[in-house]
Amino acid sequence: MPSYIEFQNVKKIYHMGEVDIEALSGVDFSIDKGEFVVIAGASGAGKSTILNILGGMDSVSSGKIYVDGNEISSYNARQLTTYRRYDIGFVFQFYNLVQNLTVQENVELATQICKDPLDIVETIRAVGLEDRMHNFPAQLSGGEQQRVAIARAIAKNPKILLCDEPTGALDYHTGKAVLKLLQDTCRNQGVSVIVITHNLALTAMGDKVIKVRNGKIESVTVNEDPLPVERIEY
Amino acid sequence: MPSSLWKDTLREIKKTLGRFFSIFAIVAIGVAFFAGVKASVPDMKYTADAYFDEYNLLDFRIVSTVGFTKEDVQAIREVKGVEGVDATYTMEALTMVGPQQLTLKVHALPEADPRADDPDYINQANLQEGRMPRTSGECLIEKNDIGDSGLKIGDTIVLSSGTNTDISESLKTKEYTIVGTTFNPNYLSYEKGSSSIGSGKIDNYIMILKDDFKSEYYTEVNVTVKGAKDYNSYEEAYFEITDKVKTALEDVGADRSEFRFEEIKKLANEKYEEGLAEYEDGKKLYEEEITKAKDALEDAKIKLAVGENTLQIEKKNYEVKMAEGKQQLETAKAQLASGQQIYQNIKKEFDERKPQLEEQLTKLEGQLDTIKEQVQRIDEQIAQTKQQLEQPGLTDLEKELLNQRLTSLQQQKDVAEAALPMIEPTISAIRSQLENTQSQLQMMEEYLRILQQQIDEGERELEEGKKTAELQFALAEQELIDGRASLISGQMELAKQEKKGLEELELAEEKLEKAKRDIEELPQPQWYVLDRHSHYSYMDYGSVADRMDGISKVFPLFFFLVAALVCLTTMTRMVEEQRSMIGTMKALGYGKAAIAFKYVFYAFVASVLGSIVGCAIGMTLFPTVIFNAWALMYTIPHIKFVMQPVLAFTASFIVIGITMAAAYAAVYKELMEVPSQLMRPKAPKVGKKILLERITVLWSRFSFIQKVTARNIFRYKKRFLMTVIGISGCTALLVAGFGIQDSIGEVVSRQYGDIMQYDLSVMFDKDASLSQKEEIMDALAKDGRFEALMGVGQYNGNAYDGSETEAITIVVPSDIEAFKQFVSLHTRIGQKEQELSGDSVLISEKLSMNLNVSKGDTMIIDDGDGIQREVKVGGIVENYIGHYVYMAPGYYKDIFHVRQVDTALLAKLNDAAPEVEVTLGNELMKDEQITSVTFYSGIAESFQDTIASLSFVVVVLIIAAGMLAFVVLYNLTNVNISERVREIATIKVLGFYDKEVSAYVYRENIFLTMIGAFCGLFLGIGLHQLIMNLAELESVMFGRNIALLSFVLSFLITMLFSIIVNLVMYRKLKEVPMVESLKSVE
Repeated sequence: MPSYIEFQNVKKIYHMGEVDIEALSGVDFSIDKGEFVVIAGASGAGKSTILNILGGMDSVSSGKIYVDGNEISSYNARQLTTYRRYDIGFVFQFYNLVQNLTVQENVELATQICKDPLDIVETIRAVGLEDRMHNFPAQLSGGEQQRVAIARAIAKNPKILLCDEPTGALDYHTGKAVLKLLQDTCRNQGVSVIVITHNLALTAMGDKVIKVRNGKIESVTVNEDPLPVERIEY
Repeated sequence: MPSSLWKDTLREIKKTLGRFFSIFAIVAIGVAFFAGVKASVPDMKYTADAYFDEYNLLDFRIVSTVGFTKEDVQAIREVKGVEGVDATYTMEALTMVGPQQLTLKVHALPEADPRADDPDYINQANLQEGRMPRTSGECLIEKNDIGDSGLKIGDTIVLSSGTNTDISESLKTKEYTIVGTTFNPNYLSYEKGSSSIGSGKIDNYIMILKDDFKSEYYTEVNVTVKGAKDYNSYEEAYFEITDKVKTALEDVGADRSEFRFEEIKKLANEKYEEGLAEYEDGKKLYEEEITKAKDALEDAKIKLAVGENTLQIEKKNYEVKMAEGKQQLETAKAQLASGQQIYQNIKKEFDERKPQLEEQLTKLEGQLDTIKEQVQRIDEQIAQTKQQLEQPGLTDLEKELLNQRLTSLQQQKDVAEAALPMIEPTISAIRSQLENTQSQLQMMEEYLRILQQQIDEGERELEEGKKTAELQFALAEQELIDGRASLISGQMELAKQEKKGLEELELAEEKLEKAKRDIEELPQPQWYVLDRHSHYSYMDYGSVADRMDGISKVFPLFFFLVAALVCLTTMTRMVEEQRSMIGTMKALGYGKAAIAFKYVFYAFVASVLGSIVGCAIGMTLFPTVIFNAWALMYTIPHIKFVMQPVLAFTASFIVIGITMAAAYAAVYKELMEVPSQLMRPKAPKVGKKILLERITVLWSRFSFIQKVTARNIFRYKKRFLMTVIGISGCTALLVAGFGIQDSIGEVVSRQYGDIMQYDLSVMFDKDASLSQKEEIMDALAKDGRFEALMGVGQYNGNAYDGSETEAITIVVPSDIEAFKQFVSLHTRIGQKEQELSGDSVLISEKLSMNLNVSKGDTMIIDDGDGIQREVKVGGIVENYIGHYVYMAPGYYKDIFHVRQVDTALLAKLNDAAPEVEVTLGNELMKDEQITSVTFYSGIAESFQDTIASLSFVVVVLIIAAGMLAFVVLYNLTNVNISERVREIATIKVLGFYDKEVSAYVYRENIFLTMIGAFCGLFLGIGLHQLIMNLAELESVMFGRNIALLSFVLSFLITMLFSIIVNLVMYRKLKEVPMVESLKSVE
């Protein structure tokens, strides 16, 4: 019986012309439901590839991936879309909000295609943006925009929340606030949150820390006593 | 310029071929349209001019009201600059082909086998089939593909003059065998102008040998000018050469024509006198006839009165006789009655007395018998006694006793016998009395019987006499009634004839007066030196070419605008993408020019290539297509292209300039910013509330995808403009294309269905009298095949507009009310009925456009006699084919001083089947007073064929529309996708299916396409109007209507184009990688 999320000897090879680049060369790890996982590694280590594959944006070259008992590595393009649609919430480094839509509408963009979305206004209130509901992204600060992105992701009521460098474009305090939001979401709603970062300082807050290096798993550490966000310094 | 910049630019092109192609394609299309359509004008003119030169078309046609003598021709030949002179004849003639009448123009060939290099052989025949005429009685006829006359080589045609002069006065023979078919540069189109005879339109021409004409004077002189062929006659330089010669020729004309004026006037006066005499004779004849008829009527009247009188007397006599007879009869009857009475009395008496008498008689007879017996017995006793006496022995006593006894016996006997004569007379008296009475009774009976018989007979006779008399009276009365009726009808007929005769006389008088006036106003004979400006085919074809020029001004403008917008949006996007790159270049120290160079050069290369391809394709394709389109109506050989480098360069320069300017405009804004700003990602364009959001009711109903679409549409104004203009252009082209079909297709049904509601028209002979016409009309009115008919006055005249004249048909109905049933006079817009009034005319719409007159204006017309009259325009009526001027009879009289006379008959048939028409046509043409019969079903058909061939224009327009739509939509989608790659990737990551992703992008395309298409529908109406105005023939107006279906189709086809582009771009959209969403903002 595989875990909630399980990578089994996952390999990913990119063909760049005549050169083959092995981005992942046999990755194994597992994540439990409701875990807050930090995947850390330097640039080019393969953490983005893991994110892409787990997020259903890319397929594996070999190996198997199970999510909640389904083998997503065998999915076709359409199945992957459905998987993204219902199971994954994505938080981007650069927020990727639709500039033409207000905060509320950006959240709606995601919820309109879900089966069982959360209440939009509640979700926005949860990320503390109830006053900015009808503002456009360009009228918000970076942290506010990222919170909108998180609201958009969690409003879908996903199984997994994937966050790609969520604090990468934010200043320290704002970053911390965003991380807090993620951690709270994980704790309160039982969503598995996977944060990808090159910032090793964040590892302290994860229930599990997976370190990646040169396309391989360097270490998987289970943190018995993860720190609350407030106590993390980076 | 550093080589790295070149490399960068060239690689950029290679990398962004789609973008490059957008600019290239729109430039190619724009240039192709502009240069192509524009080039077709000189090409058409050049081709025509080459044809004119090849077949030595006249440069001048000199005509005169009085013809030309040999001296005149010699004088022309001596004019400086004149090259070829062809003094020749032309005339109009009619011929019959089956039931159809053709109006022919007869031209002369100078000799049997004219040499093409003979400068005097002008307007050369361009023989198509057969051979040239060699002897008298042979002719060439125009090769006619469209208005097929049914004539072919070997057929013989018989010409008639169409006037009351015999054609043999003008031609040596009237029968001509067709030996060949030809074209002639003199007649380029199937429209050959108007005629003064027949239907009013020249249907065809024939060429016969000059020797076949019999005329003292040449009717016209064709002249060519030295050196004129070196120039294109559609250019000014040509006229610079010919104008000099023209002036010289006019001078000659002025000198030559002076002295013939009086002669002509005399001739005209003679004719007038002749006419006057004829009129007087007619008048006298009329008066005589009327008097005679009146006398005859008077006689009849008297006879009738006598007859009536006689009848009256006879009746009286009869009555008296009847009374007498009756009286006699009554007397006899009375006699009979009294006789019967007497008879009865006598008989009664007799019957009473008879038994008494008979009894008496019987008694008497009994007595008589008793006496006789007594006597007998006495006699016996005597005899016994006597016997006893004789017996012997008788004593005397005894004897005595016996004697005594004897004596007593004798005594007794005497006593008895004495009683006898007393009784006997009594008996016979009684007997005779009885017998007398009996016979008396018998006589009386006899008498009574005879009397009865007489009475019966008398009664019968009386009865018979009555019957006979009544019959006779009835007959006599009937005769009288008949007599009276015929008297009345005779009187009526007389009145009618009298009136008509009077009318005819008055008409003749008016005509004479008019003729007199005309003679007084007779202009000095003049030579008209007509150059090619007055040449029908030359001008007609030239104006067609010029109309194309008009089209070439509109289309390209539009394509250029779209090209500019396409280039602007494309380059703007490109510059946006390369913002940081521009910043880097700036930071590296490159100047503005060097940086801008890349983009401007990019546009330059695309537009130069586009221009080359556009010129190459457009300048051959369009002239060919356009030329061939007109070739359907013009007899011009193959197109000859003329090099037009100026046009090619102009077109190219304009488009290249436009695209480069657009590219520079796109990059300009970025160039103004400082490098540091450029290297930072551009602040995202702030989302804005659009106007639509303020309408909360509507906005709140939108799904947010609709909201995004709405916001995007209004956010990118350039793209909005480009798409809407481009697509509206596409739809407009489609609407125009389909509209052309609708409008042209409807012309026939409108003209011959809605407006002219009659099925045929019959032209009367010019010299048919009013009563002859009336006879025909009466006969036809009784014919069951006709539903209705009426007479109209129809005249082939002209309308004048400065130097131009338009051939018109003047229609003067005999009865304005009845006319409405035959021709519907109404405006095109609004279909408002127009009334013929007593002080103005109604004119057809195209005529009003050609002459530029409108309601309330005045215009100049003539009714074919060349005398110009001013009329007031009271209204414009819908009409498509031909020019018409409708006048009320009263106004006609006011203007032309002649009353309305029926010259033609309009008729509606109960059944307009082709068989009916053929038999009817044959029947009608047998009548000497009918010169032509025209059935409109035939005309409608041939016209339909001619214009149906124009439908290829629609194909060209649809292709153009398609190209436009593809380029614009391709560009729009391309720009949209490249700009929103990140957004698209994001929504893909969010789990949108491919279809939802494409819907997200395409909704905008589709919506913009719809707006564009919608605008295009309106734009199309305008474009259609414009094309129709430009494409119309001189005397034909096309409709302006576009069917609803055409709008729907245009809209749908535009949407189809959009869908096709979207499908093509779907692949590209599918390939947008999701990892784009993870990249940082550029």
